[in-house]
Amino acid sequence: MSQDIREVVIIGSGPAGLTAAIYNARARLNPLVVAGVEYGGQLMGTTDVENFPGFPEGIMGPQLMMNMLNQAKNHGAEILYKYVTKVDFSGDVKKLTVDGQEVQARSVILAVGSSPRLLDIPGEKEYWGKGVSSCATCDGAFYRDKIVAVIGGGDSAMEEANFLTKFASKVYLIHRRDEFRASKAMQEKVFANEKIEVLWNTKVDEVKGDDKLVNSLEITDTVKGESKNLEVNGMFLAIGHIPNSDFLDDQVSRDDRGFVDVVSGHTNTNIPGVFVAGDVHDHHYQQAITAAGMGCMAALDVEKYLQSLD
Amino acid sequence: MFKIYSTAWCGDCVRIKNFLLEFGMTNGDGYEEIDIDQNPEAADYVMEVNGGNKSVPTIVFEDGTSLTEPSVIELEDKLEELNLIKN
Ligand SMILES: Cc1cc2nc3c(=O)[nH]c(=O)nc-3n(C[C@H](O)[C@H](O)[C@H](O)COP(=O)(O)OP(=O)(O)OC[C@H]3O[C@@H](n4cnc5c(N)ncnc54)[C@H](O)[C@@H]3O)c2cc1C
Repeated sequence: MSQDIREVVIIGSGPAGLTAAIYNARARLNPLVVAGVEYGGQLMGTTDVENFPGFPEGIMGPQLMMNMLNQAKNHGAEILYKYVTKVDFSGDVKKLTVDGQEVQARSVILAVGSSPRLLDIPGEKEYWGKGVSSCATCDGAFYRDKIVAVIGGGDSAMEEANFLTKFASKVYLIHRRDEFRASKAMQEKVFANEKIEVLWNTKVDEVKGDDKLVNSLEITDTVKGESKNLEVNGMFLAIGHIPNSDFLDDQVSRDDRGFVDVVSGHTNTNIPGVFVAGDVHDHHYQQAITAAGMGCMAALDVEKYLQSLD
Repeated sequence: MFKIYSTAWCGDCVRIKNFLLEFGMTNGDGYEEIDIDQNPEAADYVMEVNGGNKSVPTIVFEDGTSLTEPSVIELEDKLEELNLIKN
């Protein structure tokens, strides 16, 4: 990595960041993508993506993301598999802390996406990877003939529950309300699946195990007010996402949930030269194609911004 | 040859394999890939070597050491330590 001031640094490597990288690389801006350790973004944790145009038979999420990464690299984008931990947007030259080192740039694209929300209950962190997971498609195979619980009521909860029935003997779908948010089609699939039992009006209070692996959940029926122990070997979280924007602190305007605000144009934040793309701004569409589209817009806005400086 | 225990849909596995490609390593040439979905007994083995952790990829080296879900930086360091790649 050179010590010069970069024309543009892209933070994040999901569809938004990598699309921006492809555009900025082709524009000869020699972009640096600070990709993160878990690079590739959310689609790295899914199986078939069937709604990304150009793949009539669908494509595996991780393969799609490696294609985007390799395409960005082939056009000359430089990739750093590290996290940005701190930013300083106070001057004309933006400063980023990457693994203890400072990187300077005239412009920045924030494309850091979002991460699964946690329940924040006892046992959840202790048993992470030992029965607690947020990715059925990654870890499902470990639950052959086992009993698992999926927590949530949206599309992704339905999807995870259905997917897990490929392996598990029984899937509890635990939801804190008495109806799902998920689309009708997804709900129908769940109701038709004999292996899935829905537990309505139920919240999880604690994840329990034998110190090595999860063996049960402490749950409460919120209507009856009754608590009980539910024997399961695994718990999969599907209760939404939170933006990965904590490290931005107060350097850029964010809403009360942490999503980065667009204040003018289509991708401009409140800081000149700092642009945003994908799920870290957009909590409405949250799709790979819209994230990629916004990545393209941010890249073109960067090009225009840099020209305006000359 | 070291072994990568993986599944077809595991993103971390694809990420690692794409990274190894940078060093010219592919399945059968540099490492051996074992799909635990096709080999149920391999899933038990994975849990054995990584302290009960149900996670892929788990990478087992010839000297008996293993890495579970390593970052590509950790993997690169390990491969250098074992002289499998040059810095
Ligand atoms: C299970 C699942 C299935 C899905 N299926 C589909 C589908 O079929 N079709 C579809 O269109 N959409 C799907 N989505 C939604 C889609 O994945 C997201 O909308 C899209 O990935 C958002 O892209 P993004 O680039 O904004 O962010 P992300 O994909 O979240 O990527 C952000 C990246 O930035 C990195 N990062 C975070 N913080 C930092 C930092 N400080 N420094 C450096 N890097 C950082 C992260 O590690 C991550 O790699 C799915 C999502 C999930 C979870």
